[in-house]
Amino acid sequence: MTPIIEARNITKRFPGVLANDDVSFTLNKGEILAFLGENGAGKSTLMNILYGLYSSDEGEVKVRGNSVDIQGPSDAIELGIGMVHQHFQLVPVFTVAENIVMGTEPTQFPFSWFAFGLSSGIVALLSFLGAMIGLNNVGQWLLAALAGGGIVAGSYLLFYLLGRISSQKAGVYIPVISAIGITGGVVSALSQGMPGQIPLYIILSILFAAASYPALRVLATALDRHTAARRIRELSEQYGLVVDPKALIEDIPVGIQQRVEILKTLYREADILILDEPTAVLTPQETEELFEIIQTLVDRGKSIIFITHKLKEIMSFADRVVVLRDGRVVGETTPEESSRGELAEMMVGREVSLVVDKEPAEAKEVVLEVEGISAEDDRQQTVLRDVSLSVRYGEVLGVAGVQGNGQTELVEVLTGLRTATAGRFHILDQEMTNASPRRITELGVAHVPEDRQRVGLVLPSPVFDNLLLNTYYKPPFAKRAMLQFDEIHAYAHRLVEEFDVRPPNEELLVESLSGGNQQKVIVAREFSRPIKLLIAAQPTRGLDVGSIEYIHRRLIEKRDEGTAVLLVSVELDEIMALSDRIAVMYEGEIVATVDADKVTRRELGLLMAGSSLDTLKEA
Amino acid sequence: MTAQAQSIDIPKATELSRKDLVIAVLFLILGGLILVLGGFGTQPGERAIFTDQILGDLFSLASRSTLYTIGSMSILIGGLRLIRALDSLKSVLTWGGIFLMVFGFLVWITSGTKLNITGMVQSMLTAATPLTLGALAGILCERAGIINIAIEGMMLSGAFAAVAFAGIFNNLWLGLLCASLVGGLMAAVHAVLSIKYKVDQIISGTVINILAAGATRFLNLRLLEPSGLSAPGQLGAIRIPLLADIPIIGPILFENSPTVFIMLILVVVINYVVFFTPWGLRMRACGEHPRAADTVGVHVNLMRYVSVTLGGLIAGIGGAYFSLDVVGAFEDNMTRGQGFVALAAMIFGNWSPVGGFLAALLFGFADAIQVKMQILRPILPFLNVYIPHEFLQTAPYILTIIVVAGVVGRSRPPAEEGKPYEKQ
Amino acid sequence: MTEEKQGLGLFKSRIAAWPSWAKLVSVAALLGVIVLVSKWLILLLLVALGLWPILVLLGLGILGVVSTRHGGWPWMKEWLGTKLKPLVLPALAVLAALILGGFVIMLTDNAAYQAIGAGQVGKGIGLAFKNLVRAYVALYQGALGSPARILSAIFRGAIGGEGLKPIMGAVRGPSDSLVQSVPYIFAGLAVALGFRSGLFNIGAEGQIGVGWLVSVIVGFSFPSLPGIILLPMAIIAGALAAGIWGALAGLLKAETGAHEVITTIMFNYISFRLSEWILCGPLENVQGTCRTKDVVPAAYLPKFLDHPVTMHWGFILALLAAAATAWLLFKTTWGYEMRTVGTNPDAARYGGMNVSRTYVLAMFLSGLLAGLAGVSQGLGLTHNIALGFSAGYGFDAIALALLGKSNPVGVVGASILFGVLRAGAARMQSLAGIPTEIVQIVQSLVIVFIAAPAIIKAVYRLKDDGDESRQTVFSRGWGS
Repeated sequence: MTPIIEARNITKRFPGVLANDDVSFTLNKGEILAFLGENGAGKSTLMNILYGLYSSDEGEVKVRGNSVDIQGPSDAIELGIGMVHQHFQLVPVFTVAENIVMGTEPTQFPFSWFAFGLSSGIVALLSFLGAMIGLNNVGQWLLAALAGGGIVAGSYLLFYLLGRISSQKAGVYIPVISAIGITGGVVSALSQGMPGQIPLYIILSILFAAASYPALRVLATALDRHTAARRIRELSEQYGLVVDPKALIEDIPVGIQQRVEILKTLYREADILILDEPTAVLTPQETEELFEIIQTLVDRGKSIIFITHKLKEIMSFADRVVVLRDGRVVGETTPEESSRGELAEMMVGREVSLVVDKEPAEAKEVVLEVEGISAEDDRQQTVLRDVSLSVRYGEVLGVAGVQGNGQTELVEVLTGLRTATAGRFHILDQEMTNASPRRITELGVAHVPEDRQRVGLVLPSPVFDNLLLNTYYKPPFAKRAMLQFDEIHAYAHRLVEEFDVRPPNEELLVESLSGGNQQKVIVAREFSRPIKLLIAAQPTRGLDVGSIEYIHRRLIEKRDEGTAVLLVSVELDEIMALSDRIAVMYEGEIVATVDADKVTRRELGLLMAGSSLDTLKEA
Repeated sequence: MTAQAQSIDIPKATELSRKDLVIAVLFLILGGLILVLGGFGTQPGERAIFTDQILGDLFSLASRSTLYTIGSMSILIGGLRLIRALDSLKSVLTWGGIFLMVFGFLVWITSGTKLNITGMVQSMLTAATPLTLGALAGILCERAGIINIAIEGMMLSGAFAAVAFAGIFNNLWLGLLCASLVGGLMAAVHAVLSIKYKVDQIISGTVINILAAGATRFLNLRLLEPSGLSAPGQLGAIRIPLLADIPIIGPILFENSPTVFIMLILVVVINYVVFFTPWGLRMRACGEHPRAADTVGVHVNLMRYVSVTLGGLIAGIGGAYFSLDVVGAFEDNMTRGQGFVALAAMIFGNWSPVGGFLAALLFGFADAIQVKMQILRPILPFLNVYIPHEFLQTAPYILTIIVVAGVVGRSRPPAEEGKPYEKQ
Repeated sequence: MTEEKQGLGLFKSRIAAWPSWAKLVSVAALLGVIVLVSKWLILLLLVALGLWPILVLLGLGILGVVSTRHGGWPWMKEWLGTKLKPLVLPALAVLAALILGGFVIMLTDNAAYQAIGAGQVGKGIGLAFKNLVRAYVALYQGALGSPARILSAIFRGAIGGEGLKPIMGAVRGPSDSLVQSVPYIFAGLAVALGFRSGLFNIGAEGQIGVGWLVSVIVGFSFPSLPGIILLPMAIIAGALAAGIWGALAGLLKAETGAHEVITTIMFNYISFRLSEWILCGPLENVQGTCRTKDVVPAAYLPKFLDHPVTMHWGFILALLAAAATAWLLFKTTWGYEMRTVGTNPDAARYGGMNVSRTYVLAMFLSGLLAGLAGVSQGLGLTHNIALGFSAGYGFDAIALALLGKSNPVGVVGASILFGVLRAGAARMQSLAGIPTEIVQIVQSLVIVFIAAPAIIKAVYRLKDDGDESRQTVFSRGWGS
């Protein structure tokens, strides 16, 4: 049996990076093929090549045995390849239906006798009534009605006619219309006795025909929302993917958005589905549902490529696994022939211990005390509801939760970047509710922000500028508003050495550093001040394993020095490895706060999906 | 229509939002001012008479009592807003109040004389024409994700091209066509700079504006004036027989210059295209989430090129309005910043063609009333001076600032506007 | 090089060790000396500007001599390369723009078309080319004078005993250029400061008008005050008024998020309309002129030399403003805040900076600088303000800031270049009949080439070395 997809020797280079190096694989019909690899191993690049978003530098792809050249997504769609991207490709302000049909919309001709009669009738009536006020006799009134209605009806019919003609090929439409125009032009030019105008009329006629064709093609095809909704409902029933076609994307939860993405591919009749890290934004329970959906899809003859860096998922349902590292295929196996440890080793290239060595915490007095904080997001939706928590000296409080459950806003409120609409919080017994970021920083609070490039760094500035972002105004760096460059450079030089930022040059622009080194710059800045409380949001997102270990070690060091640490992360492993206590957030609320050593992964997963602690105990 | 349904403020039960406070205070102050105008700016027994050129006097109002009524109603609306009563009717009350106050102002300036209200509406529509065309141009660009502050430049070059080519071909209609084409050409330059070369779109727009101002003046002095082509004459009004005889709506809707008709047709057509066709859906997707559009096979940059150029074609017609409709000749810098006001109309209208048209009507009204005031010259109470008409000329600009500051209405621009799309 | 630097450093540290009163006294003494000999310094500057080709050759000669000690041509090439690298792109951009401008002039040559129309194509093209050369020669001479005439004037002055008079006539071109560059420097600094703070101040034009108007009003309202009080008062009043006018836009952005591009444009038009009213109404001096009274002579910005050299102290003020702007931006915490807010407002907020306050401050300073452009025109050149004062300086300033990479030194250089173009264009119009608006066309082309270096690199087949520093991003949508 020929494999449905066969990729050979795919190589893709980006400036300075070899993203895919001689990658080959096959996908058989009805199979779930998993791609395993760390962030940056080249999985997404490979898939984007298959989907035509990138073109490969070398190598060839065969689909159903035929060699193909995929130039863009439309080619891929044509070949029956559909992709659910890691970051959903959905327009937030469009409806579900609009998102699904975009690109292959069902259309209708915007003509109905009803609209035709109604609009011309109304205009005729209005003209009649208007004429009654001002004009003298019944004949004039009727004429006005006739004129009004006639104009509407006439233009409607003309449009209909032209639209119909334009539904022929351009090769028919343009010559016909040009010919009509030219004849009319020649006749009128001759009748006016200006034969010199004839070339002009000819040019204008051709111009009009050429320009009106695409215009009419656009005008004569209206979006058929009814058909779209009907087809989507059919598909939903067929595959058990329930969605409301009229809902706006921004109003529905991520789990449903993912269904919309899958429906998008099914609507295009794809039979090869690429799912790029589909579980990253889902709770463990939503993940289960997704797996059921995938199973249904496979049962109906679809083939699935599934990308992940989570071992557990692979073990539970993949048919075959391809492991990528640094852009190369380092192994191919099946879950039955392999173990989690083995796969992990293949993926990372050495033995990994996901455990961080740490002593039990010695909890002391409270540093951060949060009481009933609520806040809104940028769209004025309440996303943080009545959150209370406390962090003590020398402990790590982990905040777990699926992305987008209010963690971002919580951190922003605590660091003064967002106003709280209710509640208050104290740091070191001082009320800091809605205080300025500077006051909070000066109290000894460090903040490793979630979005390091957007919030934490000034990318086009040198490292030394970034190291001063929140201390630039203080002596010894500034004397009466004058920056002291000697001190600044010496300080920056020292930090760059101490925190092992590479390359070790404080004059370099931060944007030229790698992600891990950018994060080191932030850590260097935040950890080198005398701090009492450290708020770290997603401190290791998107970093390589080496950097993750480094950051984890530094965090625990800080804790052991007695700093209070509030760690927000969506990586359950990170939370479990570092925290002393864990607070779980769901839909803007803290559903439970538990001791880290008295809770299992499964329990945390259920909490993250919104179960309360009580139901957990009962179960 | 889906794109506009979002920007609804969720009212908070606990406190008065700052925006509400501003609006309430504005209503209180303006209501008070109208009371003062009624008490001291009018004579007792004076009436304001509104007329129509065919029907004669339409209706007349006792100015003082009308102004008292309107003033107290405005204060009432402001007060209601302040104590958060009738919150569900908030926007209806606000717009009703604004309408009343504008009408009150109209009554005050007419007090003791007559005002041709049909003529007023007509000149309002005429003044709104270039603004609407400019706003449509902006909508096409910005819905596709390209910021367009070059409407002014596109209109100016259109105005020039209209005169130049009307003179060369000795045909005003061809002038109009070429105005449109040259506007499209300028837009294409903007598109190439901002899409291909990824120049910051505001800088690229500024370039178009400077280039248009310089090039039109230069070419006018060097080519048009020496060859005597700079005054080809005006496009006459088109009168639809019979329908134009209908009182009130006839002269307003059916007897207009061609650009006004073009404008009215384009508002309907563009609104339909943007919101009800597949092309419009894809085009809006390019402005909201280009990557999503790309992954379903829409050619984002091609879409943007087409959209921006179409916008330029429309802006060019807006330019021809100035030279062929109003003046019949080219004058330096004759668009006088209307392109920027059009931009504001676009923002005010929430990036929707019909909304932009309504906003343009509002600006057009400010313009029309300013012209009327130069004739009627009402005297301010206490100060005993005329209001200099230049003050009223600033009204559209001040209105624009108020609009972009978000004091009235709230708009939501396309999300990915201003960012070049890079495929990767 | 290194030795030199060490020597300089030693010198610096020695001066730093002085007591502060000594520093003050020595600075004051230095200033006093400069003021005393200013006339001669300026004359020297003008002559140097007029004779720049000779000076460049001389410099190259000296460099050649020095290079023989360091290893000849390779060293010299490297030295020149490192010193001139940042200038290459702007220089090529200006050159390309001038060439394209030349095409525009040739393509719009009526005389040539007439010749071509008459069937003499060769003659027509020749004529167009001849007219272009004539135009550009007029441009050069109007802007920089003719070196031969300056040399002969020096000889006549020194040997012929005719004194300064012939030289004054000969350096009129350079003087006009520098005088024209004064408002450019101020306005360019205004826009550059805005760029650095992430603000696109298109309102410089209106701010110039406000500064101009207010300084003129102060200048004629207090005729009894002595110059030493009146002049600074007029300058400060004009600058402050324009600063506040500009700060309004900053305030709107900070408080409501209204995009400064729209608000500043609107403020422009508001100021134009209001100035129409005030200049043709309450402040009109002679009915029908739409012009104010002249300021009293005590409030004039003093001139350095006699007629026809119009150089006034505004030029020195402009250079001082550039130095102050550079110091503020790069050496102070305020400047650090502005630059950080300009490149990444989110990070600035995170770093505890008050972003709103920075926007207001930046717009205030930007308006203040733009206002000084108007002040220098009002008090230095026209001595009154008339309708139609708007000469497009505010818009040209955008090109200046881009050309100078938002760096005060760069802005001064670019401003002098634009001053040269403008002074030359006036002459070109009177001699060759080419409208001055050609400068506007050239300027917009310069912006295009600077903002899209890919075009220039493609035209000149330069290799892409990828060192384009990122421009500040303005187009983040319309706010609100």
